[in-house]
Amino acid sequence: MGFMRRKYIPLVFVGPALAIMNLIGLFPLIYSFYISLHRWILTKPHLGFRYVGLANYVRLLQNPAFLYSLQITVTFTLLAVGLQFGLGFGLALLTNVEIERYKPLKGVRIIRGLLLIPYMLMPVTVGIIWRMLYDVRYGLINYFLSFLRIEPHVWIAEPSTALFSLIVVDTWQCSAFIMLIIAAGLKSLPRWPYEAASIDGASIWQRFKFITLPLLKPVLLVAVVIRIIDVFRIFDIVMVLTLGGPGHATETLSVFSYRVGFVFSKMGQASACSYLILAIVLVVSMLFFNWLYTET
Amino acid sequence: MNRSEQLRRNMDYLIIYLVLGICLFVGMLPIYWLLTTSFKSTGQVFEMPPVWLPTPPVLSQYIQAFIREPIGQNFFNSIIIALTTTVGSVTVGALAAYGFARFRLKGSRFILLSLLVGRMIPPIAMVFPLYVLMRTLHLLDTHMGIIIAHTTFNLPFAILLLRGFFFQIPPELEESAMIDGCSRLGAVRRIVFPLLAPGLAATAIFCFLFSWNEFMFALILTYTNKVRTIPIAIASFQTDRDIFWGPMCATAAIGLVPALLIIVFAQRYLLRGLTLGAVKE
Repeated sequence: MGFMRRKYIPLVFVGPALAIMNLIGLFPLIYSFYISLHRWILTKPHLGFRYVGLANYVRLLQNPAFLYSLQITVTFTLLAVGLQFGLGFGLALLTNVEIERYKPLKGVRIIRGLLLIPYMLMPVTVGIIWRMLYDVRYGLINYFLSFLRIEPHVWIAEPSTALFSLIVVDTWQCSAFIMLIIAAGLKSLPRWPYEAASIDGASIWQRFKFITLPLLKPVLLVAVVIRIIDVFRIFDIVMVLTLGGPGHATETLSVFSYRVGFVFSKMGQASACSYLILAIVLVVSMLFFNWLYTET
Repeated sequence: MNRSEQLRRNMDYLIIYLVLGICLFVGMLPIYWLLTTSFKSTGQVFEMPPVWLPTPPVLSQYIQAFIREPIGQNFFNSIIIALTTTVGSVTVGALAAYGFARFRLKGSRFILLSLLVGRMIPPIAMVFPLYVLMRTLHLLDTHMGIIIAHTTFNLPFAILLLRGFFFQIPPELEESAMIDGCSRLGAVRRIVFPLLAPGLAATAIFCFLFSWNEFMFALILTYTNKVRTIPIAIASFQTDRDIFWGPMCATAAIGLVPALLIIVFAQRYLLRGLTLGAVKE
């Protein structure tokens, strides 16, 4: 049984996973990249499958529709992640007041659990709930706003409000995730800087600014990066609520890629678009992690 | 602490509870709306002013869901696929994570980095090639096809997560067992496994939820309703002629059940899984 030598034992452990991931995961990726280097329009089979090098990428980067979609996506990401981060951070602090020598809140576990439910829902479910809520005549949003004498709006169908409506939905769903990560970070903070600082007479705000924030920076960064990566690629919620509309007002990059590939059947360009999304996400993550490692 | 400080503290607690209460209200209201709407009669679904609590609650939406569409079949498919995916992802992932955590493998850093990158890929990029792959393997419209796809996408996260859990178990434990005559596999089974159980639970929860909630690949890799899952069933109530909100809400409420069960019974494991990736304890 020569193959049972010690050298091969690690392979037994790692082998199956690597096999599956390479076969089913890597192959489509490579194939997808391969397609992105060709011109392939499914509805024009006479044009065949021609190698065009990086022409798809160049054409995309010069396409005003792509650039507009990029702008929409960046705006969406910045606003959504900013909002979620603020809310999540605030909630984390509120549910972990022990760091300031308050007694732990009663029922924190229940509160935290309930707040987490939205994060674990199916995107389709979130989509249909909010479609109902945003409905012009029968939605709860307009119903509540009518008490404030605000006129009913067509939130997801008006270009000026559509994007923000989506931001609200994503914030509703994912703020708890940030709360969770930051709360875990708060729990692992040491006590002694706080005690030393209160002996020295520092105020709550000063303790926050000079102790909590610097010590939390790695955790905050990880939370932000994870959310940026996910929000940038957002697809399901947009498709269920607005389909990228009205017009192109909420056409994020993933939705744009979907339209290019499955509506216009330009498979080459759709693939290229996906890889551009991946490239942007990679660059942003690397920048963040670089910043993280140089700061600590 | 004197009385005025105590008073201020109590005021602080009050404000904190108030703010948390508002957040809970905003967070729970949409879900409450979904659940109650699923028990309304069709006329009540779109009634103004809104019906806050349908009295009497009716099961007609659920009945319609089971009759109009084969929700029972979808439910069955979802369970089969999610459970199998979970078992597959956790076992294969745990094996691999053990390998990465205990052995010095060449190129393991590269592999781990590529696992992280794998998380960044927009799913839309994989849709078409995966369809072609599954068609070649004659796995379209089968349970196995979706299970394999889900397992593949679960594995990176599962491996990273389990690797973190393995690091928390000192290797000396296995080594002392092996010195006493245990094989490596025996040591793992007797010593590591019980310690790993919470980590396995956390990973299993994630894998299950991912598979249960997954929409895109379950749609692309099927062309009949034979193996389609609950998320697709929910979306299918949106036909080109009409939207059947009642049954749609009922189906969505059914789809909600695993998430609710996990929150109620397994919150501890869920939290471990969510935070281990981000915070090094």
